[in-house]
Amino acid sequence: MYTAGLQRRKIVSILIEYLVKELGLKVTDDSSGDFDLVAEDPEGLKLGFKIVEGAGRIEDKIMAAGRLCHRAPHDRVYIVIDRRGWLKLTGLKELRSHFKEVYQAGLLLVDGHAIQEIFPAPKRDIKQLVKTQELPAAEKSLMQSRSWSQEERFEAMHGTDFRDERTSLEEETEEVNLRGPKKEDLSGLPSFIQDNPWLRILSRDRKR
Amino acid sequence: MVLSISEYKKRYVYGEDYGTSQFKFGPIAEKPLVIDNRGLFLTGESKLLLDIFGVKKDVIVGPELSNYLGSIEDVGRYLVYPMRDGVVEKEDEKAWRVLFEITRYGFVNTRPRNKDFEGFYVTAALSAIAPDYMYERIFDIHARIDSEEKLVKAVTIIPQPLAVAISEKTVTCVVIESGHGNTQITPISMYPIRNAIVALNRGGAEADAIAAEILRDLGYEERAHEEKFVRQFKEAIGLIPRDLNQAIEKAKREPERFRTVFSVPGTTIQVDLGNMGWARFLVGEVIFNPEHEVFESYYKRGMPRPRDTIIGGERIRGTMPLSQAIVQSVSRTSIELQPALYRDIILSGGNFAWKVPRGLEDVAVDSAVKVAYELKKLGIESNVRLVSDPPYSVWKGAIVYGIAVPEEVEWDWRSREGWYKRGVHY
Repeated sequence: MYTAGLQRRKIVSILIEYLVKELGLKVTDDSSGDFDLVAEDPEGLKLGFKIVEGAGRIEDKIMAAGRLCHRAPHDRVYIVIDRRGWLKLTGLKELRSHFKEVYQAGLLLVDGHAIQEIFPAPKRDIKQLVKTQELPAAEKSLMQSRSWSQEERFEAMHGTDFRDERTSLEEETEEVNLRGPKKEDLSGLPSFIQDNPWLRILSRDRKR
Repeated sequence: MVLSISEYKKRYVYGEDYGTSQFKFGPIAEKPLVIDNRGLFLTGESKLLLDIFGVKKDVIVGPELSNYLGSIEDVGRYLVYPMRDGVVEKEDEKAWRVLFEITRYGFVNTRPRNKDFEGFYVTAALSAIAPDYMYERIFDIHARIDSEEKLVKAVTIIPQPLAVAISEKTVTCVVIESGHGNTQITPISMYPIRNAIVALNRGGAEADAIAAEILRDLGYEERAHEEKFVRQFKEAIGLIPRDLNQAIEKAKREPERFRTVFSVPGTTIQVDLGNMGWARFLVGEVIFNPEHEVFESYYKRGMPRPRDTIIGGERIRGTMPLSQAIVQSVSRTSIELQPALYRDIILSGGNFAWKVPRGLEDVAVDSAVKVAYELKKLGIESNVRLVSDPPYSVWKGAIVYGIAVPEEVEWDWRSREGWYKRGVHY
């Protein structure tokens, strides 16, 4: 069992080897000091990597890393997790949208000695970034949603090649805006409608 | 997520639960209205007589049906129960006629008088194994009613187990829906996991069958043919045993404790179980384990054995114990999902609505305790519960569904979602 420091160093080592040998990037210094690694591609675009280890509450760690990513001065940023953290992550669909729209970051998984891109990192317009910003309150509820099933992890890693009713539905679903649900006035409606999580699931946009 | 429910839908959403024995229906409210899922065809002499008295209908549905029932022979000849095991036979036009009439009955009796009313948003709930033709016919029924009465602005159809999960506000669970005709085991994780559904061709009807045998053994042969009488008798005297062998042994040792007398309100009819109080446990056990050896003698004397089902090429024997069927269903889902599924097993449907009389708690249990006990015998720890409102959970889920699905989503046969709409589809 690795201690926290050892695990982090191991991930860094695997990540450096991947960035340099597989992607042809150059590892540079991180002037902000917030990221574990910064690399530069041949065109001078800077990529930041923030490592999140799986021990402890993964949701809080992801949220903290997300805040850093949101205001990071790099062209692309990634949160990097290990397998332990990957197994604990919750709410695939919402998380995907969150990474893209709120953190503006990608997600890399370090599994053994392999690295896999779970979510791609969007190209960021650094001039538009707000220096300091609190994540919306809805973030916290995001992090409390259910565990990913094996099917969802497979889908995230391999695309939609899993034969399941839910996968075909999720393929048609547009990304969800998670700035927080509009407070719908449900007063006066029967009790079985109030606080029903299915309202949000069923009222999602569907791709046509 | 921006959640936006139109004011129109909040007022005019409408739910329908097509159960084998009852049709639950109605616009948004705390509870639905209920009528029997049956129709009486008025033909021949009876029709002529009724014409004289100004009765023009040829099919009667709803509460007034009882008024037209004559002798027990008439009941057998002209009374149609359109559904069996949650399914209507494709070519059974009398059955489809009954469904048309009960559907129309619901709308006509709940039509709002408001000027802004342009038709309901209807969510109909069908068995999880309802074939495509049932979906087509139900859509057609609603389209025809709308063409006559302008009562259906749009209609959609959902599986009954999904409706249960929705009404219980739980996104990951196993729903076991047991009504009169069948029992469906449906793992759900954001949507039914269709290739894990297990359907058993048994439900309350099997409990009715054993109740009828008990009536015969008590000397009430004629009453044993009356479905409604048998059902009332079953509901009054039936018990679920924690362990059938132990329960029977105890009931035979202490017959007076388990003795009961069934009376039909408003009549002088009484059925005294006498020393046959032990037989009360057969009524409950047959739902959970019709393979128990005690039922063999009843099958031999003609009580129907539940039929096997074939789904996706696999044969599921009709007498499979419910606990085994649950394990079979859940085992078809991913390993990671299975613990979450066993943590929330929901029992729904009138067939699980059994009470435990005071004083019999040492041998009699409710359905949730029974299922958990049987699963534990298979080495599985589980949380099992009854829906909060067993007869109405499907209808409630249908209402929530109708409220939530956006109006612009049109029906898609691939995903089986969306609205079948006036002006688009009919």
